[in-house]
Amino acid sequence: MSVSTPVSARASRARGTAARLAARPQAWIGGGLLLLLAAGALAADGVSALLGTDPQAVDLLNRLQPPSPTHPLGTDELGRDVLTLMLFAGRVSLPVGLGGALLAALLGTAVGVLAGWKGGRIDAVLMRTTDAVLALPLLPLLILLAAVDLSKIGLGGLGPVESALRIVVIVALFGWPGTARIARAATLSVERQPFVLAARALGVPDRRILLRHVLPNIAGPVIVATTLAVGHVILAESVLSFLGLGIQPPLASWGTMLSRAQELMFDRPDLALWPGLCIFAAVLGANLFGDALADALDPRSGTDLQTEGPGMRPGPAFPLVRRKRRQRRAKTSTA
Amino acid sequence: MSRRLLARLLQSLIVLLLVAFAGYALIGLMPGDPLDLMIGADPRLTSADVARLKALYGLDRPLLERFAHWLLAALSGDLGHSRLFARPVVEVLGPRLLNTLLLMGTSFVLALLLAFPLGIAAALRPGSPRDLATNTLALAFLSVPSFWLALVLIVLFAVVLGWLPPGGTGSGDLAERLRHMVLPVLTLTLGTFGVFVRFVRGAVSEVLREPFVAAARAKGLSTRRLVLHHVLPVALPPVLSVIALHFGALLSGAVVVETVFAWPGMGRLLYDAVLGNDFNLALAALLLGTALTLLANLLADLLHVRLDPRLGEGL
Repeated sequence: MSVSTPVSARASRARGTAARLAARPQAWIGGGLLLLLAAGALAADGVSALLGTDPQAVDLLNRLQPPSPTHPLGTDELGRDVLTLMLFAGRVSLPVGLGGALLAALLGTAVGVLAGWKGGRIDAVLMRTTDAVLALPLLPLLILLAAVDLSKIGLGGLGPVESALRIVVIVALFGWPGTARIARAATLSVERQPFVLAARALGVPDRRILLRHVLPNIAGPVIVATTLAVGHVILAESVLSFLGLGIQPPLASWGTMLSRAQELMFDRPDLALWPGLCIFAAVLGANLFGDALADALDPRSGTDLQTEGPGMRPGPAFPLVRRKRRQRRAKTSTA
Repeated sequence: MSRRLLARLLQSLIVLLLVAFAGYALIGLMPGDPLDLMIGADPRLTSADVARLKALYGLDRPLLERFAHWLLAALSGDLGHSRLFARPVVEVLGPRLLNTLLLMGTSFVLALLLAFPLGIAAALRPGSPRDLATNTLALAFLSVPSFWLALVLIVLFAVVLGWLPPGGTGSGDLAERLRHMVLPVLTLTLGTFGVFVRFVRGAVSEVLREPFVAAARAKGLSTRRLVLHHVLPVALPPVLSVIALHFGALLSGAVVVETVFAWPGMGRLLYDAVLGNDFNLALAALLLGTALTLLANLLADLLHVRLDPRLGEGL
């Protein structure tokens, strides 16, 4: 990376990452799977109109029909079109996965940066907590949390959308420790960099250092962790929904579809096939893309994340750099 | 060493206590507690009656006081009665725990036996077809929802082929029991294998980049000797600690697998207890699961210190 100014260095680093990402077939397969599912969810209305099927309409005369031109994947036990149902379910599963991963990333980054930056006792307490949460048996706790009746703490009358939000919060509550560890490790290596020491010596306030210099430099590993978390959250949501404790009707996710399909497994096994393939594809897509992203951000090693080294750059408004840049610009304009 | 162990033990106990408190508080918030049921069963109950019943059962006391009461009883071995089974919770949990440990233990060992050779083979030739195949397989098993894999296996082996029973534990002779174990163990093993093989491959390939490996190769050591005597001893400790961290996930997997295959283990018990408003049982199962997980981590920590001479005194 032999570039003249830090700004173009940043840009060229981003271009380098993008190029390495594009060179990896996993990135294309993973991204393609996710885009395909997202496109399906977005096109749910169109497909429903095209086939003339209404995913909500119960048609008991046409229940459990085999695949046909009007119902490409057949109908379920209430006579609803399976294909349309599945596309609409993507509108629940995918946003829940994304939302849960983002919320977990937010929590994890906050905890990790705080622990790494403050150090000492705060670090010890936060990291012991992180380790403890990481070691807990996740699903039993999720089952317990999902079964809680919120009206008993004065949060009654939740609509279907709120019930989905609730799953997002519950899953994020246990999804943050991974990101927290990564964010802490990255913060620790950034804060030893000369430009951070210089900024501290210049009296730049902590908040500014964190926002301008630390966060941009730990973004890579955190984004990787978040991408991988999308898969984990989709899996967790589908398990909870499959057990009847996740997404509640009238909303349906791929997990709830599987839950109903299980009872008909012996008569119509294909009903269980399609929603499961969707979950599989979504999780696989997120994992493939996340792996490729991790490799692209750090070409030296495989899946383990290294943040130390010459890849890091001071933030855009680093005082010393800005002065130098101004000088350099003055030089080039006179020349 | 012993101080470190003591500190870790204390930490685990604190975590267990916190989980117990959180579980106790959450369970109080679940729908269908005994009072709810009584109110539902008798429409003539007035709010004054409900208040009197609450006072009778001590449900009007502060949460902390009730928890302390429960904790004291639990410490003396009294975890209460199970509502679903009409027996003491301890009696219900015992045999179920053995079933779960059987399922988890078998899957764990099988996953390790698969993951080590395949992970090492993949790490020795990065980018080769066998590396690619191992990675692809690992990622696929990692990403497949375990309950769906279970359903697919049931459809394939029980419905279409008719080779294996779709669920339960079977009764009578050993062969019958083993036949019932195949599908649940297979489901749990495959998912676990996907995770473990990546750990092994990552750790081994990292060690292979070390200068001492190049030196050993230059001296003409066979690959077999290099891996067994030089690479594995270094790669093992970190692998073990991540694998121990995975114990909680293995338990979560067991919950799913037991539920789908009607395997009478602790995971299914917890699920049934939560759905059936059996609060004593749900809490005890949760705590037992947590305690097991913490214990596994503690053991791995000890093993890590034993295997890695760099740790040890002074930590």
